[in-house]
Amino acid sequence: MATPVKVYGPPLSTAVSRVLACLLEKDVDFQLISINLAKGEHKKADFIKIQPFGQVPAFQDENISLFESRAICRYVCEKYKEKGNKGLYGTNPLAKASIDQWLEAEGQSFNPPSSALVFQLAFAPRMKLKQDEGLIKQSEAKLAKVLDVYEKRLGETQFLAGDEFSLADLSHLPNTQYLVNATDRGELFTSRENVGRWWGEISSRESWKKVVEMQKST
Amino acid sequence: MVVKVFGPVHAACPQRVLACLLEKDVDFEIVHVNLDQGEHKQPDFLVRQPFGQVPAIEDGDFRLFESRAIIRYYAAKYAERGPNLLGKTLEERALVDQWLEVEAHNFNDLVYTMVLQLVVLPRMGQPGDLALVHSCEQKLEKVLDIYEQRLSNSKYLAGESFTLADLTHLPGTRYLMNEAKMGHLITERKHINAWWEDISSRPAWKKLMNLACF
Repeated sequence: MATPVKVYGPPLSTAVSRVLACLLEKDVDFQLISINLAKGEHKKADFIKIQPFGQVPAFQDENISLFESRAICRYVCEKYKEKGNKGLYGTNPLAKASIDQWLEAEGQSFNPPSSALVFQLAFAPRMKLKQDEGLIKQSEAKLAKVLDVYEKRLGETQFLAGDEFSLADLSHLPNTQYLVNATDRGELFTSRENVGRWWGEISSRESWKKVVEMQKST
Repeated sequence: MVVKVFGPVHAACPQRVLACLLEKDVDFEIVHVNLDQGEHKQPDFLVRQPFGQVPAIEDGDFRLFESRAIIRYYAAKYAERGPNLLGKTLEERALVDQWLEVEAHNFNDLVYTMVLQLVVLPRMGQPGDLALVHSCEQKLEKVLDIYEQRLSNSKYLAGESFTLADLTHLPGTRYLMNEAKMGHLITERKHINAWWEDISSRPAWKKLMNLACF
């Protein structure tokens, strides 16, 4: 039996939970090594050795030490092609291209405004930091435009990259989970018929439910 | 059949794709999109790229957008042709992806913001936000210190060969050094400077500079 892979970071981190969701979809055993962000463990020398930008997550297996959640997910999908959800990163070049396209859309267009909203609305209050109202308004407007594009797309296909659940959809789970369940802006998603339908489907996957459990038990 | 690349030849994201196609010797045709006139926000273009951004490609019946997805596709499709831009092993490929993500999330935003404030807005007759530029510059210095450390241990970002991880930095870095006049960020760092000299003198990049009349 293979040694479990190692993931460094707290499960509450959106980027860390992206990797956990992927590992669970692919049925890959992992060991989660928690990093206490509040105590600045991610900026300490030991961690900087494996993630020089001082960000979570980091990942290690017997062959590689890696960072950047979307790169880790791609690696896990390629290395464990035959395990778990085999189609997660596509089973042919055209399917993979479509998944990469929507993974990039997530990283470039969805992530910036949704991350800003997650931090401002879900984390800043907990950390007793002052909220930036201007940034919140700006981010909400940007995210609404992105979700209008998604609404149209998800009226044409069941999932973002096509008619199968893929890494592209998975990549959206962490931020959306917070927005829908930990802020009052969930209706950005639920008021859009196709986006709401899509969110319901992807968030009820067993793998994501397990991640949410892990987050709750922290 | 040539690959049609929709977007202006001088814009950074289309250049990312064109640099890759030139490295791989893939025939292409540039279909100009007039950003100043808002052509990228017209219904005809939105069918191609629903976020209203450049580039998009059309290859026969196949269409794709997002420059980093396009370069991954062509680097894989023509893996056996020209330089190997993706790495030979699974682990090498993972490092290419890692640094592609670093460029997208730690480098690009800072460079884009600085170029917008220093070059694009003034060209449109609007004042740039110099405080914002300064803040970005300080953050970028820290990021580049990490790149400097990396490039002191390996010739290119993902290892000992030129890959997409390096290519993806070409367009933005050129804008940073030329129009934005922030070249010192590159030239003051020994290993980054050597890396930049190397990757920017590749024949494919020089061909693109000619095409763009830079």
